[in-house]
Amino acid sequence: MAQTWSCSHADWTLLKKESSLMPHKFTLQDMDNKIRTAQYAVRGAVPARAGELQAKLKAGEKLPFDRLVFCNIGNPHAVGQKPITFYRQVAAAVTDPSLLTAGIYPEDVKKRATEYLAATNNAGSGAYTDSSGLLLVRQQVAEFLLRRDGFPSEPKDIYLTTGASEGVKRAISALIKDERCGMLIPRPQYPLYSAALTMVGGRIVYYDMFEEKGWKTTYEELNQAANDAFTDGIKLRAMTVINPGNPVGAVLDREDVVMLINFATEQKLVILADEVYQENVYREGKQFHSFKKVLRELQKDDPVAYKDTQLISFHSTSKGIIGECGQRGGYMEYVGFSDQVLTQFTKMAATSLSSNTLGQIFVGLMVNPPKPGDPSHELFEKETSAIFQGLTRRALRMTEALNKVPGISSQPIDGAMYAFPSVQLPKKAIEEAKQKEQEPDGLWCLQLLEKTGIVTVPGSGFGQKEGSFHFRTTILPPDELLEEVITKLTTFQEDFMKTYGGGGY
Amino acid sequence: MWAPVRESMFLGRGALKNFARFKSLTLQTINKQVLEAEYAVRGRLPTRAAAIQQEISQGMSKYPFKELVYCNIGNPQQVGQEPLTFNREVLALLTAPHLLSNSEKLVEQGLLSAEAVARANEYLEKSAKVGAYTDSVGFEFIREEVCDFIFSRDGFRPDAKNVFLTNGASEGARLVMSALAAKHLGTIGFMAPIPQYPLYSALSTLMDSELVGYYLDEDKNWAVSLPALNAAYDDAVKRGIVVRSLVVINPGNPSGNNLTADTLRDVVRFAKEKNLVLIADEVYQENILTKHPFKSMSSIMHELNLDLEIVSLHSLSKGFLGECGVRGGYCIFENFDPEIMQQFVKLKSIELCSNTVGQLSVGLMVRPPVADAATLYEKEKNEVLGSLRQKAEILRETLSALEGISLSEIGGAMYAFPQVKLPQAAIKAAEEQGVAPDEFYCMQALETTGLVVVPGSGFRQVEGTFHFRTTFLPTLEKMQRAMKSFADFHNDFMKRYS
Repeated sequence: MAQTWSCSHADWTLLKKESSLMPHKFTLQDMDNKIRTAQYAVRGAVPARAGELQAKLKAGEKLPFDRLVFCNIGNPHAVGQKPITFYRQVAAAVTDPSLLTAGIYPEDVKKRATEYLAATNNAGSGAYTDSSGLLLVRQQVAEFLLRRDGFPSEPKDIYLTTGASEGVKRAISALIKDERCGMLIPRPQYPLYSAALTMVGGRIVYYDMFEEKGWKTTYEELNQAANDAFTDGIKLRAMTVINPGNPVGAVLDREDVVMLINFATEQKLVILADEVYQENVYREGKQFHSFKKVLRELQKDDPVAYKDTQLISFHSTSKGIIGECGQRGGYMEYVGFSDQVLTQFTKMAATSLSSNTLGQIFVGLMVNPPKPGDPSHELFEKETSAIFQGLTRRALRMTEALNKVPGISSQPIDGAMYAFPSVQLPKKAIEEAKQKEQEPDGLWCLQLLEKTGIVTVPGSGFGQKEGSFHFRTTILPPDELLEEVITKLTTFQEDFMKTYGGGGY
Repeated sequence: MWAPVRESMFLGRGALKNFARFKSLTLQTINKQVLEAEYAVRGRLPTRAAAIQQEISQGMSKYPFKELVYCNIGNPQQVGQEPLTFNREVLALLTAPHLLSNSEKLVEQGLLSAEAVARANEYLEKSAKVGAYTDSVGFEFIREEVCDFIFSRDGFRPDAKNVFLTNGASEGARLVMSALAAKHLGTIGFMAPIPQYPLYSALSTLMDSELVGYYLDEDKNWAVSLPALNAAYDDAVKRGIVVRSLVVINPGNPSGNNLTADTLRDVVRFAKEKNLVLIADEVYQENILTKHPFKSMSSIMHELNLDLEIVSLHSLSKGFLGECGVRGGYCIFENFDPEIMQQFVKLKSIELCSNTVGQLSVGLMVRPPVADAATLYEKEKNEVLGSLRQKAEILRETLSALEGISLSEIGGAMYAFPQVKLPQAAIKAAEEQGVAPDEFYCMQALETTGLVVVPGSGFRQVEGTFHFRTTFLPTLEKMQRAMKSFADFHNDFMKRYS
C-alpha cells in the first residue's frame, strides 16, 4: 500500500526560529530538516554497535565470541573474496607506468593499460577527465550494452560515476522539483532511495513487494500506490526498480519487466533501473532481463506507445563477480532524454569535476574482460568461475539452512548477495522492543550481535509489511565461515524463542 | 505546473494509448535549481575548446595555431606535470599486492624503492584492501596520519574521529553546506569571496540558498578585508537572509592571495562574532609564492583561543602532487556539537566511503618518505614547485607589461586573475552578441591563439570590471609560446576596438 509522508513543521519551526537567532552553536534544530531525517540503516545502529564491540575485542575484553562476522554489507573483498588478477594488473600498470617495461605483466595487460593511458592523453590516472568520464570507457560500455542486449548504445548517453549511488542521487536531484514531487520506491528497498529522496525533500511513495509471491509486486499494487499518491496531491515523477533485488534477492522474469515498463509508461514515470547485481543470478531457470533491452523490444513492436518512455539504468563495479567496492566505479545510461536535458546532467556532473579515473578504468575492465585466446583469459576464467560458483553454492546453502531454523523462513535467493528471511517474533519480544523504543527486528539483530558476533541489518531498515519482521544477511562469507554463521544463528534463535516464549506471535 | 488528470490512471491495462504526448523529464520539468546552477570552469568556453580540439585531432588546420594550451583548469597532470614516483609506486603495490612477491627484483632493477615496498607492506598489514568499502569516514590509520601531519604543521593534534577522508575537498564543503541549508530557518546565506571558485555558488544554488559575496580588494592583491566582510554580512541580514557560514579560500582561487596572519585573525574573529561556521578551503596550502608562509585558519583559531566551528579542507589535487584524477582529500571538523558530528557521519555513510586509492594517497601526502625514497621525492617536489614559480613569473612579466591589463601579485595557488580594461567598443560588440564582455574577449583569444582561459564573469567580479583566470600549469616552453601569442592578440584586440 502507498504510504506518504507529511512534513509540516510549522509550529516546531516557529519556536526553533526564535531560539536559533540567539548566538549558539550549530545544533540539530538549525539543521536542514530533510538532511536531519534522512536515514541509512545499512550503516546504522547495529553496525555502529558492532564497531564498539570490535574495539572491545581489540582491547582484549572477553566476549561470547572471538570475532565479528560482518554479514551486514555487500562488501566481498572485506570477507575474503579475492580481486581479479587481470584487473589489478592493468590498474597497477596505469598507476605506475614505469612497471610496464619490467617484464612482469602479460601482453594483454600491457596493451589494455597502454590503451587506457592513451585515453587520458597520456596524462595518466592523476588528471581530471571529462565530467562524463573517459570517452574510451564510455565506448567500451556502449559496446558491452550492444553485446548484452542486441541494441546499440551511444557513449554520449553514458556517464561514469563514483559508484552507482552518485548516479542515483544525481537523477533524483534533477527529478524532484518541490515537496509535492514523489517517487515510487519498492518496499523492501535498498535505503539509498529513501535517503536520497528525503534529502531533496521529495515524497516517498512505497509499492509493496509480496513475500509470498517470491517478492514480486503486481500491477494492481502499483496502481493503488499511484492512486493514493494522486489523492494525496503528490506528483509522481519516477519509479525505482532494483533487479536483481536488494535486499530481497528476487530476479524479475521478462513479463515482470514488461509490466513495470507498461505501468511507468502509462503513468509517465522515469524508470530508475538499479541493475548493479546483473552478474549475480544464481537460480536455475532465472535470467537477467535488462530494462533497456525489454524497452527496446517493446519499442520495436509498438514505437508509438513507448515513444516517450524514459529510463535510467545504473551499474557498478562494486558487485557482480568483480566486487571492487573500494574503487567506487559505476555508470548510468540515459534512455529517452533530450540533448538539452543531458546537458543539464553534464553540468551537475561538472560540479564534482569527474569521478576517480581508476574507478572509471575498472568500469572499462568490467565490461570488457579478457577474451578466449588472450594470455590472461585462462586465469581470469578460473578466478571468476570460482567466485561465481561460490556465490551460487552459498545462495543455495543459505536458503536451505535458513528454512530449517525454527521461526525463520527465506524465499529462494534468485540473485544479488543477500538473504532476507522473515523472523517470527514472540509477543514478549515485540513488547520489550516497544518499551526500549526499538524496532522488534532491531532488538533481534542486536541480540544476535551481542551473543554471536554476527552483524546483520534489521528488516525495518529496508521497509517491510506491517507486523512482519526480517533481517538481511549477506551470502558472502567463505563456506566454512558461513557454516559457522548458520550454526550460531540456529542456536541463538532456539534460545531466543525459549527466552521469549514460543507461543502467541 | 500540474499535469491534467489522466484517465489512464484508473483504467488499468490497455491504457497505454491514452497517455499525454510528451516526455516526463524535460527542461520544463527538471528541478529549477539544476537549471539555475552555473559552473563556468566547465562552461561554454571549454566546450568550444573541446570542439576545436576535435577538429585539430581530425587534421583540420583552419586555425592560426597547431594546438590548444589549456590554462583553464587546475589540472596539472593533464598539461605535463608528472606524479611523484614514490606515491605511484606505493599505490601500484597496494593495487596489485601480488607484485610484492617480486619486489626484491624490482627494487634491484631500480623500478621500486625499498621504502615504497615497506610502506605498501605497512599499509597492507593495517588491512588496506583497496577493493573493500572502508569505514564511512575512511581508514582509521590514514586519519591518524592526517592528525600527525596537523600536529607537525600547527602544533596541536585534532581528534581522528573528526577527520573525514573524502573524494576530493569539494565533498567536505558539500556535506557541511547541505546540513546548514535549513530552509525552515529562512533563506540561508553562505558568505564566499568575490571572485571565487564557482563551486560555492553552484552548491548554493543547488541547495536553494543564497551566496552572500564579500568583495576581495583588488588594489591590495585581492586581500580579504574586514569592512568588506561586514558590508556583505550587514547587507544580507538587512535583506532577511540567515547567514550561516563563511567560506574563505586561502591561498585564493582565482585570486592567488596568500592571506597574512593579521588578516586571518580578522577573519576568524569575524566568523566567531557573527556565529558563522567557517569553511576553510586550504587546498593550495603547498602553493606559496610569497615570503610569508601559509598559516592555517585552525591554527589562528587556536592561537586566539576561540571556540569557533570550523571545517578545514585539503586535497590531493593541488600542491605539488596534482593528483586530481585520484580524487582524494580530507576535512577536519573542530568544535562542532556532538549530535551534529553524528549527523555528518550519517551523511558520509550514505555515500558509503570515498575511493580507497584516494584515501591511501592522502596518507602518502601527509607523510612523505624519509628513507631511500626521500632524495628523489624532494627532487621531484622542488622541480614542480620551482617550475610553478618560474611560470608564475613569466605570466606576471608578460601580463603586467601589456597596456590595458593590470595584474595583482600572485601570492600562491595556481592562477592569475588579471583585469582587462576593455574598450567601450568591445563591450558594446559583446552585448550585441548577448555575451559577457570578458567571455567575448576570451573566446577571441581562444580562436586566435589557442589559449584556453576562463572569463572572470564565471568567478564573479565588481560590476563593470572584466577579468580572466589563467593557470600557469602547462610546461615552461608552452607557457612562453602561449604568452607571446597572447600578448600579440591582446595588443591587436585593444587596437581594433579602440
